[in-house]
Amino acid sequence: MTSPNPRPKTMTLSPVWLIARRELAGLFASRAAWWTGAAYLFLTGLLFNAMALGPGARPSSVVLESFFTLASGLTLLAVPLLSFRLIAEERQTGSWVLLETAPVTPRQILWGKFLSVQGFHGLLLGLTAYLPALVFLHGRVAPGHLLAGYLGLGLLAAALTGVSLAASALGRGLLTAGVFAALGAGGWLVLWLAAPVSAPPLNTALAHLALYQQHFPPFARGQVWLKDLWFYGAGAVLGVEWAAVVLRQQREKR
Amino acid sequence: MTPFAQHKRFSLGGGTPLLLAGALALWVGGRMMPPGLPAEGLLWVGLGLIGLGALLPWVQVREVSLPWLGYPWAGLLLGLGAALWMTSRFVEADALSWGALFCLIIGLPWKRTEGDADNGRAGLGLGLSLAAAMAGYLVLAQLPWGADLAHRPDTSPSPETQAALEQLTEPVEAVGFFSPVSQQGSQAMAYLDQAGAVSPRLKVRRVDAVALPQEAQRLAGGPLANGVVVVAARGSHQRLWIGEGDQAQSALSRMDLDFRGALEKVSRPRGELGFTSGHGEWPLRRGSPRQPGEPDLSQERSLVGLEMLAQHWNLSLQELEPGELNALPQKNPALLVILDPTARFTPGEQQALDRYLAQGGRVLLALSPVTPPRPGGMSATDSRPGTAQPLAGWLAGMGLVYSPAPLAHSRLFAQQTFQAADHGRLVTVNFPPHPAMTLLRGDPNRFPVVAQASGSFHWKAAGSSDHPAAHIQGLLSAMPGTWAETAGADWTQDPRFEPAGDFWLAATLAFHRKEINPRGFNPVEQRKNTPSGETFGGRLVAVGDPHIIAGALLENEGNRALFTQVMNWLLEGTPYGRPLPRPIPSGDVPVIHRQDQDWLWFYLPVFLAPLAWLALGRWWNRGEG
Repeated sequence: MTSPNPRPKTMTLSPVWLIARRELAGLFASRAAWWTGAAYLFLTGLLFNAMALGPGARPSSVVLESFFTLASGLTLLAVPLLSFRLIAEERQTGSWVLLETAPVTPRQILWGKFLSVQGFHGLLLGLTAYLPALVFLHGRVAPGHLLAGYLGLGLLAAALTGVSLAASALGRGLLTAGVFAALGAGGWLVLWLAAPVSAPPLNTALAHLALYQQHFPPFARGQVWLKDLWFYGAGAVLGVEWAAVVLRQQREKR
Repeated sequence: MTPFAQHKRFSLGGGTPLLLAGALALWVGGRMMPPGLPAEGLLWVGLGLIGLGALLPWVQVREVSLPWLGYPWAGLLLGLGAALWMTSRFVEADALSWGALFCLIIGLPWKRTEGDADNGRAGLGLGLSLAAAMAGYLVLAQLPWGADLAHRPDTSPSPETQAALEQLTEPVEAVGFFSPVSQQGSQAMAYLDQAGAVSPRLKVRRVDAVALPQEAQRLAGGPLANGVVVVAARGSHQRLWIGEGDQAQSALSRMDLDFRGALEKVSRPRGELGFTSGHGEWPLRRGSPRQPGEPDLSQERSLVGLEMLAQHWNLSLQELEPGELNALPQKNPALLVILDPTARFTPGEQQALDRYLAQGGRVLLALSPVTPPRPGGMSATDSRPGTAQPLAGWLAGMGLVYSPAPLAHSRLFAQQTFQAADHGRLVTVNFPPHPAMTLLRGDPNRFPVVAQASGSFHWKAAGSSDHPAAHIQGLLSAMPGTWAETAGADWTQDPRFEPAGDFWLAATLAFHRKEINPRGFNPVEQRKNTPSGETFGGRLVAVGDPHIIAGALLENEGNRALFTQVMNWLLEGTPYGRPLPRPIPSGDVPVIHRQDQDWLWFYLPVFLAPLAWLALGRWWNRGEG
């Protein structure tokens, strides 16, 4: 069966940017983005005070590590919430037809949406930068530690966006997409729980496959390992590509 | 209409559910079945299900399709199976299940329409990409390619380490066991050579553990591999694991701290906190089993926290037998601890304590309040019934009077049992000007000290003390508005008999050597002088509630800080006077925020930043309602 609309075979950048800009503009035109940002900042500030700074005089590097760990918890919550609706909501409101009939490939649509979430999450992270900056000014931390922490948060968000986009593509409605996103991100996160009850060497494999335990803490401590860069990068790419294949299959079926 | 749509009802999974059930049965059977259940049988059932699941698609050739997730799901399973299969290295039953899954999925017959074939290829491609990604990860996980951006390698001793080196009084050996070509060994030795240049008492050498194994035997008492630094003195030694591969980066980045800690441990004598016994004191170790009806105080009176804190001064806990009090000068503990005695000390024992103090001894004494007769029979669980407190008389002889009536406050207390007795669990940030309290006075609200039930101290009138030389100071005061339950512990204030006042929860006594020497005691030589030349005599800290400085309440930050400051003050001028360095990464400093900086640390991030963001949003969407 041939497709009714011939689409460009190669992925050019400009449609990706156009879609990303459209998504971001849509986000900032809604109240949700501003309230989400305010809640993110409020919770980050509160957790920074209550848990990262703590009651005593803690070493700067420990405060910074705690900050990145807490921020990763918020990322784990915020990114699937921002991402799961990206396709499912378009379907629900009927605007998906417009995108689908536009001269762009599913892959371009997905990467555009992926970039929009990364951009918004990056902006939120940027807004929290004054908290580690306070530690930087009142304590003593290596700038590389800041860089590593934010790099880890960005990569974690990328991997979560990938799996949430796939969930959004799989779900027929917002509810199913939300459930798939929760199952996907949550299941990936808690995979490490299966490791202790498995036998070697499968337990090692499961521990390595889990989203967080082996991969994010080094970033929070200021350590950047190539294997973790690869893990999150591959997770993001495979998630988006999976979503692209799902969208393509769904289109062929019609 | 595709065959998938026509036979949807019958093609749900095309054997996939059976396959997954089989894989799950294998996994559960092999790993999670409790002992005694037929795990082996479940393994075979799992294999059977997998076989059936693999067969079914071929029977239903035209109808087969995976459920609503489509071929991408098959592709992902394929990739996951392949990745796990590779990781499992072909050896386990788990690997068998995943291998079967892998074989099954690539054997699935793709439907023969053009679109489905494309989808099949896409799914397969995705699965293989996942497998490739995992294989790539597997390779990278074996490689030490990474960087620690938080710390820089310590290339020279920090000022703190240099100070520790300059204070060495005995020879210390620092031997690096590294192979001759080890680059990390060269970095570690460069650091040690700089340390050796600071103090002539530090002898630094590099040894190849393979070529000279006897050197490791001599220093560390056993064989050592290369990649270790041994710091040895006074017959004891500490090992620093550096390593010789790229993993050594992390150890090198904290070498200054580790080396300083090792140096302090081997160069400083180990001391003891001597706990008196035989007078009803808190037991150092868990004693005989609890009798029926007897309250379980093991957690409340646990000395684990105190023991851990004492390690900062290289001190261990040691129980003194009752008869050993007379041998105090010979036992010579770094600090004598008398923790909540309930039985009287004999006059001989009190004289022994006098002598110990006179010779420059240091004593930490914790007393408990005594419950006065009270109306209504209301239980006050944390103070002891009775009328007198052992050692109160001895203490009064030195000018410090202990009032055993428990203190209470109507508003400032720690709510724990929601009973009236909670009014006796005082919380205070009232720190008098005392040399030991500088840290707590600097930021009092950060260090609230909690008591479980405390009596109080006051200064005996001048001229009535047996030891006029004793210098008495309040160390910790109750908050204003506190009263003593002198008219019966009903935990409500009777203003006629129980006026609010300024009560000391802890106090200190200090003796000066010149004022003690005329009594004819010989000073202990090692306590005579400090490096600065200042002389110190005996010191005593008396606390009105043992829970303030020991037991479960030591988990409270304020109590811990108080204990630390008390220890520093008590041990000042002794060889144990300086605490060992805390495990703060080298080059790091603690972040301290004071109350007057709350607008910066609290109000700005919690309120101002979110509000500013919302205001920006309002401005951004202005004119849109």
